[in-house]
Amino acid sequence: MKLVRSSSSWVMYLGMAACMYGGAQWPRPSWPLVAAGLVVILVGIALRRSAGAPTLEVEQIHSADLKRPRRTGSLVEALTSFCEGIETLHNQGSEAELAAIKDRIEELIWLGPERVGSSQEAIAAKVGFSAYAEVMAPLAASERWLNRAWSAAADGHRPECLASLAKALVSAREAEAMGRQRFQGLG
Amino acid sequence: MSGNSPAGLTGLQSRPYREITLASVVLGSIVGVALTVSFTYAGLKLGFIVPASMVGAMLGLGVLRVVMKKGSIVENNINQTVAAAINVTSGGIIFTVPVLYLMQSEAAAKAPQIAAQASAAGLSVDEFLRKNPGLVQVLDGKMLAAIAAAAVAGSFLGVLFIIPSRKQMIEFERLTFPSGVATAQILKAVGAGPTRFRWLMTGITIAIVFALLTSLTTLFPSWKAPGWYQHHSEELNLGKILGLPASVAVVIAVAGGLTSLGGGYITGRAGLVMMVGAAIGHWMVTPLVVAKGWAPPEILAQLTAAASAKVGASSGPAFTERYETLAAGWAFKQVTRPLGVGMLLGGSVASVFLTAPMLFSAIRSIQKQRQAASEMTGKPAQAPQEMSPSLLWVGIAVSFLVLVIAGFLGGSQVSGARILLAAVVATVWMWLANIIVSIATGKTDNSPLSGMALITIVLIVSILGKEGAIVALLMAVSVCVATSQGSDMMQDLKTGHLVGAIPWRQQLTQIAVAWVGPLVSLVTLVLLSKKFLFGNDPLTAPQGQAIKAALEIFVPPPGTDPVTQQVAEAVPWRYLAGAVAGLALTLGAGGGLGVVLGLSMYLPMSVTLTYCTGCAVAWASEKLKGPAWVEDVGVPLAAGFLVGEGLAQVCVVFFDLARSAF
Repeated sequence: MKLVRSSSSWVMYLGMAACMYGGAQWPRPSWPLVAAGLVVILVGIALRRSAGAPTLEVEQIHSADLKRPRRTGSLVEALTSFCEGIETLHNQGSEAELAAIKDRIEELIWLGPERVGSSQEAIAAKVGFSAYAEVMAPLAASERWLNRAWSAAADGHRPECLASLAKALVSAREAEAMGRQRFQGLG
Repeated sequence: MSGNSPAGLTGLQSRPYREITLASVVLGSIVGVALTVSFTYAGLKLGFIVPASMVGAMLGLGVLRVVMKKGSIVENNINQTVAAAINVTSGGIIFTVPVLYLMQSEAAAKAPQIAAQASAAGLSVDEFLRKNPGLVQVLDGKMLAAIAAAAVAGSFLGVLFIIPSRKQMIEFERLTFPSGVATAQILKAVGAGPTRFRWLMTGITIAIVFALLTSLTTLFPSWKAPGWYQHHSEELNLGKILGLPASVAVVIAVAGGLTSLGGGYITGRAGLVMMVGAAIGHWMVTPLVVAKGWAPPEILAQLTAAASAKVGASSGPAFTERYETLAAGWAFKQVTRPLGVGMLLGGSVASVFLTAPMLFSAIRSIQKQRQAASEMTGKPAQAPQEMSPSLLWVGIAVSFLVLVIAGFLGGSQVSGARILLAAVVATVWMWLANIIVSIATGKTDNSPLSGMALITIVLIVSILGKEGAIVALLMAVSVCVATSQGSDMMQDLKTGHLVGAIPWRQQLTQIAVAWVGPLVSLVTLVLLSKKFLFGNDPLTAPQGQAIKAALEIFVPPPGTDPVTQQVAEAVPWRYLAGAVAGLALTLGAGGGLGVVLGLSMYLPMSVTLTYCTGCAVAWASEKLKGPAWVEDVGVPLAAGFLVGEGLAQVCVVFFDLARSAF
């Protein structure tokens, strides 16, 4: 199926080349050639559809990545552990080293919003753009609050860092609840 | 760089976290105005501007953080937002407004009284006008007011139109916006850890040295550069080295090359698809047009004569190479590029259709959030994050009225109803053009700005006829300013997302200063027109010349030959052929495929090939070293390339400006 999917792209590019060949003729584009190219593009689209939805991202292990946590479990599980991670960080926030908070924030963003975001095409193909957007809206808001907590930690402003972590947690919980409804059955 | 006491900051914890402050707005305004003046001059001379975001962020780091010892990361983000919001509009002004001067200086050159004065002074008319640029008086008070109104309206509309797309493009689609990522790297450099900081600085240093080395002839105009430098300081023609025909462009950018390379690296593997469009455009369409002679016989004869005159022979390898180079230039402008613009258009319409559910979800999410905020007053977690939609609508309505007024001021030969219609069409097109440019910059960091101005002219002239040329130009000013302002807003909002800025604060700041840039750039341009005759050395106004040439295709001056007319009539059909393909590809494959492929046909090959090299390097390094290495080493280094070349260009322009002044 992966082969059919990648071949379909090349069929579409071939169709585009035919359209451009027709469109470049002098003095007017050759519309039969443009139409032929369009048909080839449509064949490519049909092939792409027949290959089904793209698969969800499979993580690759790299020697340089050992310091990074692995993305394991389903997307819903990832959202749950994302929430738990923020909660733990928030609870420890008043005593933890600010440098350690920054490192943990980067890990959490890698495990949660970046993972869901990098699978957007596969998710949208399976559950639709709207469902993806309904989960991503609070998840991205949570990501932005985490980024603010990172900035505040880098600036040495612990009160703002803790306040931003609290806001990130509210949005993350909303994303998790929405994910349980919309992402059921996804890998 | 890390720990509980960041270097350089004093007493930050005891106060509210600094974001919008007087210091950030004042510093951003000073930097923005200085860069606007410099790049209005540089843009008229060289045809490009450098966005102020990265330069502003670097200066903010120095002034707010090191000198004032209290600038937070999000405060510096406001500073760079202000600087860029002011500076970025100069591109819209210098691409379009000089067209009025160029038209007027042509008219002046034909005036009998000017010919008489030139004769009395013992000079040719051109020489006489160059020495007396004040005789070309195009901007009377009314026209100046019309241009200012059109530019300011466009500046506001550009920001207001793109704000609702923030959630969709940045949070849902997660477009890359490489320059936005590079700016965030600078803002976060103070807390990013020694590895990232070191690689960012390494990238900046390499890029500054490299950019200065490629700008030696600009820095020292009297220097006699050796032949190899003259040949290779702009671009490296690999096709020639490989012995390929001159019509097959295999070219790597040298001047500005690190910016394209870095932009490609930050985009990563996803950007490689641009190579497909570039190959079809530059390796198939353009060579085919040259080889098959798909052009009017008169044009082919002109190209043959020009090549023959250049090499002093009408056959042989030197003649063939020269002819193919000239013919490829014609084919790129008249065939490949219009097909690419058509694909951009078709792809954008399809993208808008496909992403409509995301946009509606984004708007619903904003409304839901605002509703929750009004129901739970006092709970900080629920404070509104986005600007009020009703405020946006009011702003759009007022800006539209200003645009209509601009049309009335400039279009005395056109009826009121038709001016109103033109303003409606221009405003709707401005919204779509904003989406096109934002998708293009979000995916590739490149923007088809002059193409958008050209389509505006075609649209408005087709509604108003030839007597509406000035109104068309005013609308093009507005669209050009709007699209540059809109894409800058998205770049800044991407930066804001990465540093955790509050979106409405950034949006409000950008709106508050949106009027400054167009007015500063316009005043600078008027002052420069007193000293220089645009279209002549040193202010050749290359983009203005290109748009004037395009305008004359659709509004031919008296005495235009039928061949030019024939070429002009073919262009909209190329748009249509491209649009059909762009529409089908995007509807079938999604992801803005038509936009990206169209953009790669529209851009010069040197930009696309260098950009795709960056994408390939990112892909290879991710495979070999892993994503963590890319994030810790590759992206900071690539961001440094973008920042360093920007800084070096600013230095070169200031140096050149100082030399001209003294």
